[in-house]
Amino acid sequence: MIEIKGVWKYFEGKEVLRGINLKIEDGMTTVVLGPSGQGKTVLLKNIIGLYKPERGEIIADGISLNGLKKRELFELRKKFAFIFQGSALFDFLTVDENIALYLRMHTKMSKEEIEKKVKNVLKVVGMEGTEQLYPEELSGGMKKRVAIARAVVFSPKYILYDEPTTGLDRENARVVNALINRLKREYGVTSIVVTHDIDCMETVADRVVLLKEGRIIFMGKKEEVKESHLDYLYEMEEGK
Amino acid sequence: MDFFTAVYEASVLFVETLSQLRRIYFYRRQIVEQFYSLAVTTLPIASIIAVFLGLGSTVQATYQTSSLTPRYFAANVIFKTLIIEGTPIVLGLVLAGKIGGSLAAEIGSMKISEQIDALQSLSIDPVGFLVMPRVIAGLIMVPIITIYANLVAMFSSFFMSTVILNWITPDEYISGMRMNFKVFEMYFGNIIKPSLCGLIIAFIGSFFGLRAKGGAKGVGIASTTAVVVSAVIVVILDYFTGELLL
Ligand SMILES: Nc1ncnc2c1ncn2[C@@H]1O[C@H](COP(=O)(O)OP(=O)(O)OP(=O)(O)O)[C@@H](O)[C@H]1O
Ligand SMILES: [Mg+2]
Repeated sequence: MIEIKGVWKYFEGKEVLRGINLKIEDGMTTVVLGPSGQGKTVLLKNIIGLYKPERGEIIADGISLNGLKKRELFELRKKFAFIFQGSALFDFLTVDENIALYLRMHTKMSKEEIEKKVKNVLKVVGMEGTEQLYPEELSGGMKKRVAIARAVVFSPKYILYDEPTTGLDRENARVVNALINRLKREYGVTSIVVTHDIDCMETVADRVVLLKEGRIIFMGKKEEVKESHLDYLYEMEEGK
Repeated sequence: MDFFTAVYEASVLFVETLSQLRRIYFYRRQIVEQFYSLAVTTLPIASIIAVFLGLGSTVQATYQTSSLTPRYFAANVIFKTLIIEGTPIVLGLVLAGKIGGSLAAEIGSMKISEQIDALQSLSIDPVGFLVMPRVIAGLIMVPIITIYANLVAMFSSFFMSTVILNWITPDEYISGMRMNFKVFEMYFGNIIKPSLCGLIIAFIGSFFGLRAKGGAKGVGIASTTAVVVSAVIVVILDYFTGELLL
């Protein structure tokens, strides 16, 4: 379980997160819904300690991130995988090297074992045969799937998705949503998905959190979300 | 930009880089890759520069030498200026552009595309994985490239003055090189100065790369800043090492 307790985050005097309180239950997919620029990415990065909150704390499986030494934080992060908004594949490595990197750096697995694992996860995400390609040779949807493969290869307990479907066409978005559900079902992964894509929310969410200007304005089961809750999303999207 | 903040941050990064040295074996693969990539990208340009440095300084020396100065003496001047000052500084400046600029661009584009965050999220330390191997490669490869460039420059000078200009005999040229020969000067020009340059260029390039922000423009800024700053430091360093060590 991840507990987010009264988290505030500022950037250059600007309040981005204003007292976020949230519990992430194991085995569920929590979707944080909010329009662009509301601090969704910042919230996720606080959870794995890439940013430090100015106030409040994050507690993951009973361990508070505040005051962790770098080494301890790195140890804790091994429970987490992060799917970045732009996939963030390492552009100097091929697809299989991207996926193998974690295993190469942190485990004593042999080359053959790693190769087998990589093949396996590529199959899970439906990207067999792309081992030798470089990220620049992949489409956006393919990159996203490789990023998911890079994440699941070390069997993390938590996966954090930063706008997994943004910028993808319907078909690719459908594939990615199906993957998120499949990872929950088959591997029991606990996920946090931040997005402004309502389709994505409806497909993957168990619980929904609505974020507006750095505050949570609604929290509940997917079934409890009403049209009226989502009005501000449309308004803000149109207002831009 | 706040100069003092930058100096402070650079010192912090430097200490972190030093502390990653204990994981040299862990990152051996990255280090080997950096050695290789540094050699491949700099050898062609170092060769061209060395050839023409040798030719240029020979033309100057023969032109400046009157009939009153013994010619082996001019050979001695060519030899010492090239090894101690000419090749190291010219190469240092060119590599500040070549290595410093490309490291800042490479790491900077990783920064803005969240690849640095991605490393962190995989519990891989970007300083150990990216910065330390590049700094080690700079520290060791730049002297090696300088030694090579010095050899090439001397050979091109030797060839120019003995064969093409027929201005001095090979024997005289060699006795000029042997005149007042000091081993320390060889270390100084071939190893001490270049390794300091290599360290600084690679470190400054990585530093500005890691600080890049705000899209492609940010990467461009990081890259030019790295080149300018490391070039200035190379020139200043050239003066101080000479002043202190010779
Ligand atoms: N490293 C940073 N330095 C300064 N400001 C930042 C930084 N990261 C985020 N911000 C600011 O925090 C605010 C929220 O950013 P964030 O990236 O979390 O938005 P988001 O909800 O993920 O939006 P999007 O849907 O566009 O990704 C933005 O106004 C942004 O300018
Ligand atoms: Mg975002």
